[in-house]
Amino acid sequence: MRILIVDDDRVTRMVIERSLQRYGYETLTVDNINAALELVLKGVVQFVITDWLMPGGNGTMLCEQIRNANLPSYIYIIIVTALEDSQSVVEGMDAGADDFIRKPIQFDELHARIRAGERILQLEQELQENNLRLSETTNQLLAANETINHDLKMAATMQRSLLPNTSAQIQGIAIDWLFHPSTHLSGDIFNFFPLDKHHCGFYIIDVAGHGIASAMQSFTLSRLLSPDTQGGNYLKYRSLEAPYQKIIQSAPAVIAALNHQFQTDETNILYFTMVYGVIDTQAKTIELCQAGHPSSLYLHHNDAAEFIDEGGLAVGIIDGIDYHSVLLHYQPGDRLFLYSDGITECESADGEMFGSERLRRSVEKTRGLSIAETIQSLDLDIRTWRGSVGFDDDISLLVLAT
Amino acid sequence: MVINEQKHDDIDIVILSGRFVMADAPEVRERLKTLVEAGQGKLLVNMESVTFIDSSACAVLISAFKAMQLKTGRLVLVNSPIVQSLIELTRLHTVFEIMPNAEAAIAALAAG
Repeated sequence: MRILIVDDDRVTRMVIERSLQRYGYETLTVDNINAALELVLKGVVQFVITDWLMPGGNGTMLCEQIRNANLPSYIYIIIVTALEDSQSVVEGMDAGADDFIRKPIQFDELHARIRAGERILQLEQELQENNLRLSETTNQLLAANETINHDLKMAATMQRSLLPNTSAQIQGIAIDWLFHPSTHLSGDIFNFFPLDKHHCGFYIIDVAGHGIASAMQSFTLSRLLSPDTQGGNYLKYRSLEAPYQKIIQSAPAVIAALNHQFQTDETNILYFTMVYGVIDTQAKTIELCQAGHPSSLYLHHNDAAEFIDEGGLAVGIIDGIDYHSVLLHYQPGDRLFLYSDGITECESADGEMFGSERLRRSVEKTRGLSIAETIQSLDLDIRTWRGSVGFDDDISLLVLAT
Repeated sequence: MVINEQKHDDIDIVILSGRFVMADAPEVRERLKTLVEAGQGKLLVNMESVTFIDSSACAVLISAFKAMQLKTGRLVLVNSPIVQSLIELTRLHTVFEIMPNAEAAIAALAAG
């Protein structure tokens, strides 16, 4: 470590220098503040021992200038002051000096103070290295986060593309929906599709949890519940007699098959709740099967909204159980609302849940609105309830309008 | 969420308090798994002081329940009103053995 000795008296400089060199330190000497500052700014010294009173500028100035210089490493400063002069100590340390020593200098004391200063410089060095490491780690984390976010956004776009088209009606039935994942990806999924000339199918699924694992399960189920896949299919099966056409599976049979296929175990504990329905657009019926899912809400065109409560256990919990359906007869103008518990369990700032009653009232309010306006109204009610924070759980709602 | 464990003779007791949600699931799952494996087939999960559960929490409880069934053991729940109503919404009350309080649960498990 190199020590700079600043003193206008030549003898003093030599005596201090000789003493420090005997202790093994490298030294530089100057006789004025400007020269001292120049050397400090060059970065060739880490330690300064300076006299207080000198012609052309005193220790206060040097300390202030060194501290204001914002150098990359810390400079340790000891001021040398006369015995009678206590004011310079206060002034000097306020100006940035770290320690002081009185004249005449006791060199073993000076040496002890220098060693203390070395410890400080060592700490500062470690701190700097630590900060550098932290900085590098932070940058790596930020970059990794960027990549993950980018991936998640792409996945979210893919998930959204699986959702049903709202612009075209199927067999006279129109739909619209709300879909707000709590993080990029949702554990909820829903769909609406034709099964044959007079039948449509629809479902809403809420996989336990939320986030990536739940979303992956929702992708799997979405693929499986497509009526177009050739060969083995959950929604239709080939009859064993001529003309061997595809027959539509009943709603309970679909859910029972999924229940058998997706039993939870050690490796996958994510069960799911679901509603599956088959609409016969000729007979004007809806065969609805609910499995652990929040009760669907039926808005009669000429009567109050009511919850459809019949339902069985969530899917994947107990194999082989029976599921049952309920048959609804619909009239033109009726609407069916399917939603996930992210809505009913949505907490306001006070911690109160939105609840099914409030949902029923929100749905009642949408009487007479177009389905697009209906979705907007429900969205507004939920967001207003929640306030400004994001959602804790995935928000999904599907409305079918006959 | 806070997890406390107790033992009453051969009955393992886990007491949960606070909110039991997705972030808490891994730790609770581990603890319950250990107790199911190492215990004597009598486990009480006391959620009287749980203020909220979500589906991840239910998934953990179901997983412990099924593991316990494989050992021909019993898992009994004691629920706060809010936990009870959330469990009833998914009809899980038809799966779990639920007791009104800890004393009743311990008595039921002790009776074998």
